[in-house]
Amino acid sequence: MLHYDLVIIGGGVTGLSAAVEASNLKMKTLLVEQGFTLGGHTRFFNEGYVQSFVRKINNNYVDLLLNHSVVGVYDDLVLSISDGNDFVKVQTKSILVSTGSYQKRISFPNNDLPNIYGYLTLLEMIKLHQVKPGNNVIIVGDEIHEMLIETLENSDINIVKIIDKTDLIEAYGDEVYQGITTKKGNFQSDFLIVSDGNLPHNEILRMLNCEMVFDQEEQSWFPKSVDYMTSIKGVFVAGNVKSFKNAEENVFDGSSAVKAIFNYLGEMHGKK
Amino acid sequence: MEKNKIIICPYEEVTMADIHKCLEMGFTTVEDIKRLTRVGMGPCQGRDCIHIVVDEISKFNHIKKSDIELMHIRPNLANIPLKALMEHKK
Repeated sequence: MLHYDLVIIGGGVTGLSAAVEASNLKMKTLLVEQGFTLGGHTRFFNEGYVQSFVRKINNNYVDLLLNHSVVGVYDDLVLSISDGNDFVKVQTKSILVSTGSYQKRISFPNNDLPNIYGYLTLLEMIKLHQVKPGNNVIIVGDEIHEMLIETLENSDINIVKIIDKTDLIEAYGDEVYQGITTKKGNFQSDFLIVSDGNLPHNEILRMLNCEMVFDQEEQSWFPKSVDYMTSIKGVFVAGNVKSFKNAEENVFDGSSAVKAIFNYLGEMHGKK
Repeated sequence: MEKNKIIICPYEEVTMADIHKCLEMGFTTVEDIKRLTRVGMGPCQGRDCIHIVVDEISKFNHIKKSDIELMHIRPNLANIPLKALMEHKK
């Protein structure tokens, strides 16, 4: 069993800014990131911004664990963390959940055809792997990020049409996607992007049975929190999993949450 | 609309037709539909699909989404090989 003052779950900008703050406060911290890279979705938009935080993390205090995910978490602040081959058990004094959000899938006939991508998948392909899936595209969905449009333009990908979700009838194609049928006619493109906003990544919080509140605007569940602490003692939240915000706001959220955790641990220690 | 061509869970091959069949039989909770179809039991543990199931329950039964309980999340969120558990004894 490994021991830490703080385990940060999620290495997006929120988790990174939290790790920088934990370095400054000399807290023994473990940052767990599911992917191979740090920075989460912000990495597709602003790599330099992400690296400015990575550089400020002090490895004397913060251990980074990439390509590992939290598979179990319990309210006595024990976690099991796995890379798919092996697992470690961790006892911590506090947890910061900064798991962020993920693209929302939508349902329409033939939505499993190859060459239909979520907008984050597409940004990852273009920005991180330099793969261009085609020369022209149709976008379907209600929430279209300006960065998506900019990325497509910079990659010389022609936007054939942007379709409202309610107008879409079905996608068609023989083994691979070829086009869509809508209430306003048929359209063809090399590939289709689904861009319908995000869902919070709240599985860890729900595993802990944190009290959640339904947000009417986002149509999703978010945790109740007071000064970043959820209804479970010692479990804190920050970033998009707490409420949807932009990267700068999430950075502020991450460092503020760690300050709150530091004070909480100080009070706990004082009581003993 | 061809409901059997709308894929809800690509891992467990659950379609919209499967979900609607459950609803028509009178099953109205996410947990019931999960047990009947295996939706939400694939490697993503419901991350990509449960919101669609909730939408359908809401539309079919005219219930507010805020009144629909999500599925319970239990360990493990990802696979751990038995070998790792055996070796962990030491």
